[in-house]
Amino acid sequence: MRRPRWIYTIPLRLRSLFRRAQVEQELDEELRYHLERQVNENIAKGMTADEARHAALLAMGGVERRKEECRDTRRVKLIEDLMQDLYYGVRTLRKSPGFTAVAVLTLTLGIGATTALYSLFNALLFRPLPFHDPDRLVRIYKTIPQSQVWPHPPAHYLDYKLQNKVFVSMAAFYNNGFDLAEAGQPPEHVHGMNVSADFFPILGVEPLMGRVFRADEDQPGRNQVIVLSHDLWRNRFAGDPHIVGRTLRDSGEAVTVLGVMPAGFDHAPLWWNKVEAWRPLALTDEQRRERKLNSVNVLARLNPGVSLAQAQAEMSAIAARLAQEHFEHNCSVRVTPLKGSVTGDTGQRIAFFTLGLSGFVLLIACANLAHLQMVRATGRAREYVIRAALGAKRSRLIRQSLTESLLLALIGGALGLLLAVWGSGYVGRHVIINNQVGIAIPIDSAVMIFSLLVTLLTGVAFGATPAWIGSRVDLNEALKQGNRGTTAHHSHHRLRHWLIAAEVALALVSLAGAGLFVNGLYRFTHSDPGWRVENLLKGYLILPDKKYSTVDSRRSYYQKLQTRLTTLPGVAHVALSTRLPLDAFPIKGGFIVAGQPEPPRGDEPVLSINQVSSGYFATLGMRLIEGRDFTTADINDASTAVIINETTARRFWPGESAIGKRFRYLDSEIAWQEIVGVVSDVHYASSVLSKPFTPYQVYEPLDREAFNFAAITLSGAAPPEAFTNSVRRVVAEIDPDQPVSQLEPAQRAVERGIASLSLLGSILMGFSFLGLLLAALGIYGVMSGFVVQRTYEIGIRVAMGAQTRDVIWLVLGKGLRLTLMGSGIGIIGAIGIGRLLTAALPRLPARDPWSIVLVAALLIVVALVACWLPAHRAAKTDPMTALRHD
Amino acid sequence: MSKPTDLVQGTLDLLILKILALEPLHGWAIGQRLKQVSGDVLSVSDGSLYPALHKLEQEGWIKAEWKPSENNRRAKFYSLTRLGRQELEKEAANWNRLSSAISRVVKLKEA
Repeated sequence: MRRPRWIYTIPLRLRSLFRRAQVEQELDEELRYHLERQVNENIAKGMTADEARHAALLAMGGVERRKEECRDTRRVKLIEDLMQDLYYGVRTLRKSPGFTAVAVLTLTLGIGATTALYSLFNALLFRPLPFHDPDRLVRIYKTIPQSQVWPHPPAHYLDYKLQNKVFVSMAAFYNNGFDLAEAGQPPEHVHGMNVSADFFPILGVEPLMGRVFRADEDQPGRNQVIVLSHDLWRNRFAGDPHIVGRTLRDSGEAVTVLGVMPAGFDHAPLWWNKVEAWRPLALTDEQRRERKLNSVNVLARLNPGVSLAQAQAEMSAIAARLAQEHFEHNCSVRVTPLKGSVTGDTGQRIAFFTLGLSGFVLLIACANLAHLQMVRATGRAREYVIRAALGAKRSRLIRQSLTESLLLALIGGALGLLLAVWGSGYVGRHVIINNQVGIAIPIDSAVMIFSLLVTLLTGVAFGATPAWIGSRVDLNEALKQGNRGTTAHHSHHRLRHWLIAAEVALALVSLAGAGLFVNGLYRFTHSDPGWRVENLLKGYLILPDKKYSTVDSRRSYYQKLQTRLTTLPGVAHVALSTRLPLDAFPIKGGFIVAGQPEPPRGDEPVLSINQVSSGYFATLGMRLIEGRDFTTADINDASTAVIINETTARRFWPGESAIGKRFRYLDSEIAWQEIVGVVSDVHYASSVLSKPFTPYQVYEPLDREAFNFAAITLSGAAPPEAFTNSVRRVVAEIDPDQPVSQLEPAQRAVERGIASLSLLGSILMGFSFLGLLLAALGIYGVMSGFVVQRTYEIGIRVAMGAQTRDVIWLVLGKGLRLTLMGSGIGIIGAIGIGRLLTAALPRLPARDPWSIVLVAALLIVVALVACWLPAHRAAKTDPMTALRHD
Repeated sequence: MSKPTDLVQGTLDLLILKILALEPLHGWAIGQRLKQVSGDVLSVSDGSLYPALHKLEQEGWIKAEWKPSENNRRAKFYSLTRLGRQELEKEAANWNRLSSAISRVVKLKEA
């Protein structure tokens, strides 16, 4: 049998590396044995002992040289050199603890912060979804002119499911809430979903305990089952190991707990809202025929080998066929990967924007460290020269220097990773995604690899330049000139000056980027939303269908509630409505305006409908511009009175009064609606991330349909929190089984909506100020170096009669020129960053030249201070000392 | 291995392998044997013998073992590995081909 070569060689290499002492000793012994034999032989030939020894050594031709030749055959030189460099690196770093501490601290902050930021985005956006083979999962949206993410009518979904040949299977779901209670306890509202039986199998995740729905449980009448999320099980049921089989009550209906899903399955960023429980979709026969009401979301798994484009083509074809069969306008569909189906490009863009800015800060850190290394390299020029003179190759010197930088970077990177673990834990506890406070931010292999890459890049970035410069020392010149000459290379100086300009530019861009973001966010949240955000208490009610099955029962409930709340002491305004300006996804419906040409089918304008009680406009502080508010006369089934917002009035009835004008909803047998009033516009407070939509708003009387869900709003003389308990008491007095959820000041909800962005803004600001600080330190360092080098020259100048002012100006002028140059470049970069930000977040008012000017001014001031300190020191130069300075 | 080695170096390797194919020897004895069999024509300096031995060892062609020598001292004995035997055959064949080619060229008569 042929044995491979490595069987012989690998043990030899390992032995050469790890048993070096023994190998060396054997080499020595082998050669000594040879010499001894040769000496004996020579003596036998008749030489004297001394002659014999001399002849033997001569024949060998230098024992040490031969040894080195033997060592060279060992093929482990590269590794041995590395070990030597590492050893040498550790020794030099230990010899200059000040430098090492500053460098490690800089690196820890830079790498740690960047890694923490990456781990956040990794958890939210980059990481594969927690499902089986997640790349094959898709969302299928209906598209209408106003939205690319519309749900489908159930009958369409069933047709798609039946007719397609591109998906393994397809599932439907919608977000819902459940009022869960255990015997003898008040109900609690939890967020959840109703899902078809295919939902769990498509995602391919097994439950942690128990089982998920069977197909036969996905039917009306047999659907009294529920699956819990890991969090709900842990927090609400204290991780009860016997939860499976327990009976809970959902709005009075007994439901059996089937199972518990594993942690992380309820991946918050994906489902618009947090998900704590799942119940079957259980479409009724009536729902299965529904082709108008868009109510279900659809997700599917692609068949093996089917591409996204093929799936899209097939779905488009089916949608077109359905549109023809059912005379329906506009039925286009969009197939998109499940991952990113919610955050879309915006999330990615924010991620890259923020990571980019943090990269700038890291670059500033690199520039600082490069400068420090350069200073040390000049200080060590003599050492380089001597080593070069002794025959060290240039590549060897560069490698030595790089090893040292990489060693520093790795120490900084390791500490940075620790910082990132802590930092991402902190951010994870405070970030709010879709109403869920806190997410798990794992430090997984992707984060590790990212931080390692950043570390290595940093090490090379700040190590390569000084290494190259250090190795470029001209031997002859250097040895001739001794100490002084080696430090005075012109290219050397130019490079350092460029470092100042670059640091200023980088700091300016990152500060401006963060400033534009934070200021834009501030201006967005503090722009007048058109409604009372402060001093408003809000909460939501969902009336169980079983208990309040008739319109009348709901009307009387709402009327009783409003009356009781109004009589609470200190309350000025109380209103009920189906929507609040806080809710990001208002109901919409297409409409046609009477007496105006009908737009082409499918292109009708869409209205957000809000059904409101009397007093709604006063409670929310909206202005009635024209016409009247609703009166009790509007509360009857025949009433067609509606109120519209200003924008709608101006758009459809420009230059005339909208009062008395009429419009009709599409897909509806409801009569023409008559406009009785026009109110001021309101803006949705927390939708800075979403695309701007046409805010055509219409208000109808709440009691017209009296849906089973309503929002309570209340304001009065006292701060909103003061009313929380009395509102709860009133609700409980009317119906003890009825929970009211998310009862809190509206302000708090608004802040929560943008909390993550605010947090991001704070992180960015922190980053930028870190960058500013680093840049200031860098400029100070470079200018100090400049002063030290010019001490001789300054000494001559002072001796020739230069005044303090002249000397200060010599240094300050130099610094100012470089700072201005950097600022110029930085301003161009900042304008670019502003453009990028506007492209990423169109709703953010980021066009903000004053912020950029302010940031530039701040930087110039900081740079001047950083230059002034060395300048001041230079001015105090004593010419006698300076001229003797070597 | 496929790369052409320096003639002298390559030749020395071949000689060492051939000598070790007969019996395991230590460095000094290899040097003595070389002088013996080549009738002092191919005298290899003691100096270049050891790097050559170490190279062959690192290549995996010969292996070393510490054993008592004929004068009862510990010495490093080299012997051929299986891989070394293959290498020897290859190198010997190469050598034969090369030397016969060269001798044919040398025997050419001037026209």
